[in-house]
This record gives sequence, structure tokens and C-alpha cells, in this order.
Amino acid sequence: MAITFIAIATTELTSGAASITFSSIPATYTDLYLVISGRTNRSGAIQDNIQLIYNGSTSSQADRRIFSDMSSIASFTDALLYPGLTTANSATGSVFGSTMVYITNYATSNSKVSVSQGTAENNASGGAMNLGVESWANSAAITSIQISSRHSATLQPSTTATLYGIKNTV
Amino acid sequence: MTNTLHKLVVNCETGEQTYVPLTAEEIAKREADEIAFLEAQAQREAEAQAKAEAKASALAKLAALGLTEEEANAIAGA
Repeated sequence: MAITFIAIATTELTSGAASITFSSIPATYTDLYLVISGRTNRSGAIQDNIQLIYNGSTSSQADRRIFSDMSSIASFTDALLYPGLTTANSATGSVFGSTMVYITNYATSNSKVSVSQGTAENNASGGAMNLGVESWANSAAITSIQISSRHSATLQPSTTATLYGIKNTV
Repeated sequence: MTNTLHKLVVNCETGEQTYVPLTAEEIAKREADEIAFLEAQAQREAEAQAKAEAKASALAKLAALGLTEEEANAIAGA
């Protein structure tokens, strides 16, 4: 059986960082799948939003999300990409949020659309979850993905990110 | 690693992982982005508060006209 789901690159922060960027992403796959286990130092909050930037561009982006802090549900629309969650400073120590983003047809000339889900499990009271769809109306193939905190917080050590490539051929 | 804020760049072709210091421009943009978020959030909260207050005022006026709470809520969609 052919291998169609391949880890392109993976990393784990050994010190705090403003962002993680996967660069020189090959155009040889059909879809991309990004998995993040993350925590930031955003103060006064249990969760933080992840922000993605493709190819260094923040133009022509759209994002729609359903967000719950476990006590209420709200929907949001933004002109930037906020596809998931990390835990933040007020969350239980050593607990990390989980985010998964599936980006379809990233190397075609069509708009790049993704679906995402994220949680900021607190292992105590509170916590949050997020379900979203995102698009980037640009004809270029995605060659880089920057991951950062929406709130300009610092990604904490032991945050991990893995980028998978998926082929539709067998 | 010093106190200088860094970004991690992972080259998918070579596997090389490099911590790169942020430029002054990048640091300024991070600060501006957070200020813009806080301003937008404050505006959203103010609009929500104004909407809630208007609704409460409307319900109170409907009650003063003699409507029951259930009837007032039915009109207000509460």
C-alpha cells in the first residue's frame, strides 16, 4: 500500500518563541494537515487563539468560527485566520491545547480552504473549544505557514507542531 | 537564548530549524495587533451592552403597558 499520509516536518519548542514557521513546503501533496499542541503566556486567560499566516500574507483571508467557553456559545467572523486554540497562562500548569487544521488543495490556484477544530482543555474548571472554517483567496500554492498567538503572546516551551502532507493517489 | 524574542523557522526541505530574532518592525506589529484587538473587543462589548440595555428598557415599557412578562418576551424574541 502506498504511503499517502506523510509527516513533512515536526518541531517542539525548547524555548519560548513568537511564532513557528514551516517554510519551503513542497507542492507535491494534495492536502495539508497541521496538528498543534500549544500553550502561550497570554495573561489573565485560560485560552489563546492560534493565528495562521500563509506565505507571509494577511490579505484576502476570511474566518468563521463557533466558539464556546463551556458556559456560552458565540460565533465570530474575522478577516484573519484564527483556526484553533492553545491554553494560556491561567490554565492548569503543563496542560496544552490541541488544534487540528485540514487544508484542502493547498497547491492549486483555487482559494485555500480549511476546516479546523481546537480545544483549550484546562483539566479543571473552564476551558474552551472552537470549530472553524477558513479561506485564503490567493492563487499561489501555500509554501509557508506561520503559527502564532492571536494576542501576540509567546508560544511556550514544549509546544509542538507537525505538518503532514496527504496525497489523493494510491 | 537571551530575552530577545525569537521566531522558529522550520525548513521543510532541509529539516533545518532556526531561531531567528524578531526585527524591531515585527515587534512593533505584534504590539499594534494586540492593541487593535483590545479596541475591537471593547467596541463589541459596548455594542452588546447597549443592545442589552435597549432590550431591558423595551421590556420595561411593555410591562408598563400592561403586558405580562411572557407576552413582552414573545414580542422581544427573548
